[in-house]
Amino acid sequence: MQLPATETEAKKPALTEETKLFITFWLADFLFALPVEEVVEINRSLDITPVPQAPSFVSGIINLRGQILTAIDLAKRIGLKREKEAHHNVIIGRDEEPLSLLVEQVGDVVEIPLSQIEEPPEVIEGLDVQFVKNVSKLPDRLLVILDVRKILEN
Amino acid sequence: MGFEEDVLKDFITEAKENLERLDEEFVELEQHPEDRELLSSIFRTIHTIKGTAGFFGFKTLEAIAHFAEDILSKLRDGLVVADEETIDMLLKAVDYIKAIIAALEETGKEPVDETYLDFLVDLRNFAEKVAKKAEGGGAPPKEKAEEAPAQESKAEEQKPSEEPPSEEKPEEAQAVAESQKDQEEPKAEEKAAPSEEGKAKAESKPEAPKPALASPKKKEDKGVPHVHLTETHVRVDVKLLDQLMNLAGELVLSRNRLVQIASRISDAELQNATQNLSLVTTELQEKIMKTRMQPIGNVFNKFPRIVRDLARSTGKKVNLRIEGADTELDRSIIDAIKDPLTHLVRNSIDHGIEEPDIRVQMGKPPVGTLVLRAYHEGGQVVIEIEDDGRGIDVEKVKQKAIEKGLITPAEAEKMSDREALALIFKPGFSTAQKVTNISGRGVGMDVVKTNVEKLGGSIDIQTVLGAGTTVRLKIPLTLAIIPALVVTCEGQRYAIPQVSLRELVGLSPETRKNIHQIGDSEFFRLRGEMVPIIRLSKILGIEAQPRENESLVILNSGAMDFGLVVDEIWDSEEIVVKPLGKHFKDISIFAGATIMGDGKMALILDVVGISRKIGLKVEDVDKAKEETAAKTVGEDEQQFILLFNVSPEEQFAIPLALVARLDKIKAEKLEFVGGKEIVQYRGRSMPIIRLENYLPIQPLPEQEEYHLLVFAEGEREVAFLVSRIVDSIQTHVKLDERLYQIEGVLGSAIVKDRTTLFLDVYKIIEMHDPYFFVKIVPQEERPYRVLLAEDSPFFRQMIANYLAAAGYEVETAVDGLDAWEKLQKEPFDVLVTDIEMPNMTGIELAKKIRADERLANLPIMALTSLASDEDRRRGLEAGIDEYQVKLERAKVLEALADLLNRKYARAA
Repeated sequence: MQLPATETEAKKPALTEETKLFITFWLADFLFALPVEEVVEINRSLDITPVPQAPSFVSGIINLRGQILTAIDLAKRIGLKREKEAHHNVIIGRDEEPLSLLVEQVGDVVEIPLSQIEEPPEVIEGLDVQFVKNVSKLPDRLLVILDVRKILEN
Repeated sequence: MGFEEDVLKDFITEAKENLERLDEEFVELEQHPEDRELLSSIFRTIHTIKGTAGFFGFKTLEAIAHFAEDILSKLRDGLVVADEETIDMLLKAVDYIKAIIAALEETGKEPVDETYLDFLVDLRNFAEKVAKKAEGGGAPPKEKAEEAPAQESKAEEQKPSEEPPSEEKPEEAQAVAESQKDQEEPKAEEKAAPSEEGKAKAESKPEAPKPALASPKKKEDKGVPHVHLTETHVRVDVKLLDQLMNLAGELVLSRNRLVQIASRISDAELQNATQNLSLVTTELQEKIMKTRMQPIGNVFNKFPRIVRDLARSTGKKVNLRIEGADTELDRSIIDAIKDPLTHLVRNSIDHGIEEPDIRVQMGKPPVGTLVLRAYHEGGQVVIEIEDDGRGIDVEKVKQKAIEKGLITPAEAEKMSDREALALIFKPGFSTAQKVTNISGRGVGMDVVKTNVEKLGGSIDIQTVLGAGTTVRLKIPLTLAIIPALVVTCEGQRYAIPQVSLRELVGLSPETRKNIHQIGDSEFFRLRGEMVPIIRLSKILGIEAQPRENESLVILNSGAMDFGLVVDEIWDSEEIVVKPLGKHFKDISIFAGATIMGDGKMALILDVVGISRKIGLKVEDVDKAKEETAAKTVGEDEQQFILLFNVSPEEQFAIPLALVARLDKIKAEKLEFVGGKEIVQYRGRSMPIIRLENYLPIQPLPEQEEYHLLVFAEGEREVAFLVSRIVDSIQTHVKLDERLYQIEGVLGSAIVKDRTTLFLDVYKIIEMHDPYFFVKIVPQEERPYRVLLAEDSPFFRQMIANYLAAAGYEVETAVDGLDAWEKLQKEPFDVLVTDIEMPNMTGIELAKKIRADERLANLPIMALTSLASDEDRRRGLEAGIDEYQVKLERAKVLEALADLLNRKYARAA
């Protein structure tokens, strides 16, 4: 599904409070989120060609309509232990080299009031916090908002 | 507004093209200062710029062009001759014009800067000077000059006048300068020009040669665009071409995919359709590629100016020759090689070509020659930068590399010339003794190499000290689409660019016999040549299953050939090179990726990167070659050598036959008596030689027990003290004499994977004790002159040394023929010759001597490694007087003395 780039400042007229849209996805029992404006598109499983000698968190390369992208094993990148195969591609990088982040399952698009976006705690069990930008406490669980810059860093 | 903007754009584009040409023309002019046609062409270009500048009201530009034109007109009419000063001034004018044009392009306005006005004043004064000079040499009458302003109004109908007036130039310049300072006039009036400056325009018109008429005309008919777009050419944005190229690439991929599907379905109609599509696609791709092709002349044309300026600033004289300027290359490559080429040309002039007086001293013409040459070769473009300068001193390169800490002195000693030259490409290397403003700024050849390799090209240096250097770049024609060989390794496909491919070899149990393990590396014997091979799976670092059938792909990395073992060879395919992301930038073994016909991806192997990764060194390959050689030579050329260490890092060798005994002693047995180190040995005191006292080598470490190599001469004995006996092996020694020219060392060779010094035992013993050897030479009033013919450098040196030590005067020859020639020139008392030699054997030589009247009585002694009775018989038949074994020094000397006594006593 192709996501339009312009829906960033979406406001619900009923609410006076400012909100932000996030795309959520699952990886090893965590619910992660990325701001919609960071995500170019989401793709179901694409063939991955492994690249020998590449950094460990790089799964390989994918062919996205004739463009060759690097596929990042997001779980490995952020220090997670994942059990299931991650087949879904979250393509990020609008203004720079696009990358595919491999995730297990794509969730909903959620709208979160700015007031509920918090600084991350010092430690999140099973996760390298340096990749976490913010968190938000949803009724049933913690939403972990990832720091795209950090993920893209070499 | 729109129209004017368009015209301005066209003007700038055209002016830029013209200016490029001007640079060249000026340089040419310097060589042919009287070339009218050239002068007219330059004049026209400047004139057009002046006219158009006037039209737009660019006053500074107009004025600079005006005065330049003024000077040029004098040159054109032959009133003055173009000297260096004049051309310098004119070139400066061109530079200023360029700068203004650049500013116009960026801002649409002339730059406001004092320097332009300062230069304008300079130029004006200079123009005046030229005018005066011209007047002195028969300038046109003054009245004519004063007439000109009056004719202003009639300028249009007027016939071209030869001379613009020179008198009023100063005022004009002033006027321009002042108006420039006071106000910024964006545009001149479209119609008549009432101002002072207008005069310049009016004057310019009459003398405008035909091609330049376009600009003044425009003033009258507004509707006519300035630049005529002829029907045959259209300017196209490069970006558009790039997009077309990408699309063509995608089309090629779709075509490939379709062809695969069609071959599977095998429907006749579909087959036809795809075949047609295939043809059209190929042609389309070729044509689009062609639109991007440009002659390399576009880059080469910049060099006459660069070379000229460089030569001037370095005080050298350089003649630039350009060959193959019409060779075509993809424009992206043309852009990319500009900087590397400039750097190489600068290097050639700065470091290569000598100052004129030095050149004359060396017997070269004072003017150096620099050749820029381009040509096609096997789907690639070769660009050569050749100079006839001083060449590169390999030793200096090594020295520098040691100083910079790039290599250790030990490494330097082992390096071949080729490897040493490669040091130039190491980061942080610069051969310039001093840092000049031209080259030697630290960013150097490493950047050039990286840039060339980025393009998929290679760089190679050939140099002859004192005679010149040639740098050769090999560059692919295009970057985007390349033919490649697809291979597999553990289920994945990889593409290898066809340009690197030499040949394919199937590995069957039969062909596997050609694989040889040498040290840690494997080599494949390909038609007698040893080619290092490596497994692709090993390069990729993946677990490989052992396989029955594999294939060997022989590749060339520019510097050398090597073989890559792959699982399967698929097919040859045109692939579109796609870059890999930044996460892969540290992986040197891939050049990119491509999408195959079935939509799957394949990584493209970087052949140069792989060859570097496996660390193949020319030395290893040489070693392999040597080992093959060792197996093919006859047994009689082999000899037993003894390998030993003094310090563990250095390996030495001596012929085993020279050693009388090997023994061990305890350290406490060593005594230092009367300034001599001795050891109690078999009831006698035997002198000890520590090699480090005579050779520049690492000292013997302290040990509890040492080894003794005992040498005997009659009753006398002496021993080398060494730390360890490594081995004694039978081998063919291919001695390199050049690397170590040290007394006591015969040369070096690689034995058992290590560089080994072959020691001259006799010399070292003599250094230790000059009276050790008994001189048994029959001494007359002068020493006997011996001619020694021996092809092996190892034996030649050793025998020559022991003969010389025995008191003979020794001349050497490298084979029978050489000996024969030497015998013709000089008298010798005796010939000592090897039997087996190239060109002319000892037997042939002996026969020839015996057949020659003057030499018939020359005593001849033959030396051989092994003397059999059969050999002896053949030798005696040929007229050889004595037969001895090379290494039995004492016997050789005795027999020689005996022979000489016999012959000359008889003669006397």
